[in-house]
Amino acid sequence: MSLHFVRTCSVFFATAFMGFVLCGTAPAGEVQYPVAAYSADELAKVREWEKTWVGKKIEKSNIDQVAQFLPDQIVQLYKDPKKWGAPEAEGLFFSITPYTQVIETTGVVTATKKYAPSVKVNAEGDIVNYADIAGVPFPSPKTGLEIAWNFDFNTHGDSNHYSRIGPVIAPGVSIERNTNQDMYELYWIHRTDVDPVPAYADNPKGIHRGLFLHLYDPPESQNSRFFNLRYIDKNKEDDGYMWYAPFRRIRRINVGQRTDTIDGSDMIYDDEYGWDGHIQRNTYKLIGKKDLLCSRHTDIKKFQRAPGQAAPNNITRERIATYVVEVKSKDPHYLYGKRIWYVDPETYLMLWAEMYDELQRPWKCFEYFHENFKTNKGEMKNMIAGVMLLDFQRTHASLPLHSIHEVGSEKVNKRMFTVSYLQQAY
Amino acid sequence: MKKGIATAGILIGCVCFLLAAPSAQATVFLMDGKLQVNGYFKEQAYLRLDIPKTEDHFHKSNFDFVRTSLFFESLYKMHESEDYTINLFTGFRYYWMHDPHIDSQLKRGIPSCSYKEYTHPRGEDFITEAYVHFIKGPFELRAGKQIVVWGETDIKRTADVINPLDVRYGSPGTEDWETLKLGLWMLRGFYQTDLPGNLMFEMLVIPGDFKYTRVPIEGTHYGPSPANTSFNPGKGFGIYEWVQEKARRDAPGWGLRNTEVGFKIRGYTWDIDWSIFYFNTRNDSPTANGNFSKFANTYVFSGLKSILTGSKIDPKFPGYKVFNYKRYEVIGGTAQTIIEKLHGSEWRFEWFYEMGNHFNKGTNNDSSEIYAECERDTVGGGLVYSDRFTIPWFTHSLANDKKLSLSLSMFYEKVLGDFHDIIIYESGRGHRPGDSHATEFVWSISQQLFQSQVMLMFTGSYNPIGKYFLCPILSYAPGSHWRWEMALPIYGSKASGNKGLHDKDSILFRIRYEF
Repeated sequence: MSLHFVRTCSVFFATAFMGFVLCGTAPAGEVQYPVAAYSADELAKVREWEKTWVGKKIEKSNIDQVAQFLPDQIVQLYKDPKKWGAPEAEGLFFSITPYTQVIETTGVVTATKKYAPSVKVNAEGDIVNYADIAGVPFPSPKTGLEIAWNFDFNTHGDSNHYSRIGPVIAPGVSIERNTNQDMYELYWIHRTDVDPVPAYADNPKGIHRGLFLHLYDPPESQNSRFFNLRYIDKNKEDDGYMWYAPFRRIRRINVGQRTDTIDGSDMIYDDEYGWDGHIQRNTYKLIGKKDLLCSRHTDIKKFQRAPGQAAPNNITRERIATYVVEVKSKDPHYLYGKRIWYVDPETYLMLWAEMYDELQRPWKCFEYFHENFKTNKGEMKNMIAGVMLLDFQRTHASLPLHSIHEVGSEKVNKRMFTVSYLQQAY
Repeated sequence: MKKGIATAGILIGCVCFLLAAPSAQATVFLMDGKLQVNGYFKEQAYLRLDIPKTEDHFHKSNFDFVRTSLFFESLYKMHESEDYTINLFTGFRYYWMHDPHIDSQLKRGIPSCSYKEYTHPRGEDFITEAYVHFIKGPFELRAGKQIVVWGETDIKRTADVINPLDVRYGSPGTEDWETLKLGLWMLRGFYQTDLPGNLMFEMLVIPGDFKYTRVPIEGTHYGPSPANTSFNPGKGFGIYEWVQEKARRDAPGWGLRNTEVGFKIRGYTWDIDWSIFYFNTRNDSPTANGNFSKFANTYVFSGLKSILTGSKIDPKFPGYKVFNYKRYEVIGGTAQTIIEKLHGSEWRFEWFYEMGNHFNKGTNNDSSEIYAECERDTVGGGLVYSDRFTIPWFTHSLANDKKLSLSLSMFYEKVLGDFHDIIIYESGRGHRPGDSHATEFVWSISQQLFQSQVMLMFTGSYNPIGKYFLCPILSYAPGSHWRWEMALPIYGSKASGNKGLHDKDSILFRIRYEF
């Protein structure tokens, strides 16, 4: 056996193995997952492009050269840093890092392979066995609705705890109003990583997800606590309970009015994670795929920002082929005329979201920063590490950043979403 | 002098600590997050819009309320494990009423026996709350000085019956409950069951602590002017203070005979969050006994003597008891739900039934003609509707898509049984003299503007007897610490004998540094 033959075989098997990992090649009949954003050929082209751009500081002077990979409004932002409160000397800048595939946790991969073949969809596009399955229901989505379902099924590690701290920014004004809150999230269904999977057996109220907040700032909300329960039933509104510290009362509050802005920020209740509501409340149209520069592996601790500066410097963005989905609310009086989602094809998390007003004029643009965090099982999970919320009509911004404490935490349990826990406050 | 320097030193020290806080965040975390501290430093003043001519000689300026206050809250996590948690919570306050220092004529109108109590906190008043909180699974126990809220409504107290109020410096609508309520030393336990309806049981025992309702002091902003209550204004306190001081002196101190007990069950049925409760308590407000006429006459004689001789009104408080704080029981409940079909509005209801509460009887319901005490049952309730609205163009263009909040409430109560000569109209419960029932409507409208930096609020109440309270409020909070507020509390009443604060229309200025 010649050395050449051994080398050829090695290269062949190595290539085949890489192909398996990157493209999720699997025996016929088995679900192909994980699915990489790029095929081998596409990746090769991306790597070629990266040779020019990785490590480069992108700013006003060279933003046009990568403009095709950014939402139009963001290009305008980098072209006019003064308008957005950036100091004259520094301006606004970011850098480009190489694309890195995000592999979901073993739990997500296993659940996807187990449940994806059994997904049952009715004529309206609803998943009939919605509460009984987990993972990514459509590993190779063909429609906007399937992408939306995949987004909906990401349980952010099933349970997590993070602190969200950030300013509400009027560009150029150095006095900022801060929000600071502890947030806890727990999924009753679609669970993949923390037992019980795929769902809590004991769920008489039919809860989908609970979100618990302990607010520290702004001061008028200090020590107020709130939890929101989302139900599996698409026709049932969320329930919200609040311990409002200044009144020292437990209040059941209306969380059905999803278009109210939160704490002076640029976000409405529906904007959490890009969309925070029942999937069936919108229509979805897959526009196609678009390569964008996205923040998927960003260390938010490295962000630099002067008071009054709308967008932080030192964001790192990598190129990825996002799914572009046009989202319209079925409510004709909805606040936004439409949303454009740019969805990560590997995690189905939102990377960018553009909002348009009722006259279809560009209004807001949100960038969701992501980072890999170690789960309590020791695996890596790509999680939202913060959001840059930009209102282009009002020239205003908010920058809530997440300090993630735990992913896949068993400390976040069902008891937290009870009135008795809510009133364990001061 | 030394005390004044020490006080100033403490205040300056606290302010320096606050301003030097390392973080832009308001809440301060210390000891790796084990200790959480927050609070505020507040400067507050009322500028009276009009001072009646009869009160002229008790005022040099229209500022009749100027207060500096400091409030600290700390939560110390003593032990935190999956098995159990122990926390220690303390609330500390200090205030300094400047108005008598600024206005020497105003000082003349404040009775000397109440002066110190008015200008600074005394005794345990420094501590608003101090308790150990033990949590183990579904059990929870809180032991120490606490403020308990059992009601659901905002401005009126219907089912909120545990803690007495301190309305010397403010009233609901202009101050938050934390400031108005007096903590009581108690044991309070909870048990969250797994029973249907998420039933949660709560029990509290107040073993001996008793505090009476602190009513406004004569000559101060919230109290009546000695010009209206004194036989010889300027020559000593009025009959109001004579009565209130005696009521304070007759109040029971610590003692097991004061023990108060309460139970509460909270649950969730048919999409309604409800609670029912029972509380056996001693009334925080007194009734007068048969000695009242004799006691009142003592003041009248001293007053007449003052008029005739020009001497100071200076009666001696008698040793006999005039006021009793009698025991009664109350059962009640609350309910709240969201009605999706009504614009997703929030609805809250609370009710009470007081059993054997004590009242005085006076000829023609006149409090100066008291002749007997009696027991009556009282029933009442309150219904609150809250919602948020989008106003076309305004909400989007001026309010950054922050909706307008609206809350409307209606309260009703009735004293059951024979109402002949019963005195209740001065109690603040909204009755017309001679009426066994009272109704009140309360509203609150608020709108946040400029990304919540500015808030406009309009709150108020109307009682069909012709009594009203209107209070537009403007609040500006530009960053994480400072809050500037201005309000215009306006009071009015067409009801003779129930005038309330009808001549106290003011501009309220409030600056807070919050941390």
